[in-house]
Amino acid sequence: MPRPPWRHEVREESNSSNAWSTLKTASVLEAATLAALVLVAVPLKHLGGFGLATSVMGPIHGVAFLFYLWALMQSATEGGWRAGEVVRMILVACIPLAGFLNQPWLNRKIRAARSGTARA
Amino acid sequence: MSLSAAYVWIKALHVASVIVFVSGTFAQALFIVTSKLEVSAEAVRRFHRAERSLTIPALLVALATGATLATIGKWFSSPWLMIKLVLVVVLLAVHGYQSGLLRRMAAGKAVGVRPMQYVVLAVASAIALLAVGKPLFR
Repeated sequence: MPRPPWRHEVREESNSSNAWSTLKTASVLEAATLAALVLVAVPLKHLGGFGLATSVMGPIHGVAFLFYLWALMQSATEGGWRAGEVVRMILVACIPLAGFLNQPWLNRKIRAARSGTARA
Repeated sequence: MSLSAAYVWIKALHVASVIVFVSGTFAQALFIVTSKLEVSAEAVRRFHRAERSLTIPALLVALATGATLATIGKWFSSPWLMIKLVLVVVLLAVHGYQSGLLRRMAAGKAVGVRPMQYVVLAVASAIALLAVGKPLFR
């Protein structure tokens, strides 16, 4: 059965922008899980003797970090980012709360990419 | 179901999802190398959509089950897992890089192609050796 033409067009449009949405989501998730790990789970372990907190949050943050690296590589390659920009994104992912502070910069990069003014 | 019984099933799910993810990464590499100039943007889009529908769910399942296995098995302090995690980062980076290349090709932009299939082969083989032979690295 042939696919209706409108369905094809809708999927095309969503595909063109979802890489940036994925990076944005992965960035927020990574920053949130790092903050939860360092600012909540680690104090609970060392001050409250509640070791389960890090045993749970550690792997969750690990998964979020790996997915973030994947999303970063995809968007950086697609957008032709400079090496320094990729290093910046990796560094902010290693510092608690820096991922949140970096959101305005990331938003500017995403806006530039969507408007076609990023490096080709 | 006991934790040890669950471990085996989670491990089976992890292996299955990794097979799908690595297969998709190989497919990306071979598609990019063999069709850089000869295929239309529409063909790239269709391939990438099909590839992504398999590899992204597989990636998420592989990461979730891998983290669960390492937690249940208390493997996080093992040297073999640290080495394997570095290789996982390389594999994810290659897949992300190739996804970005496919998106550029689909948008009609120029891409500088590096044949990555041998990197995928080497990394996937090393990961399998480390995961299966972990008693040697305890």
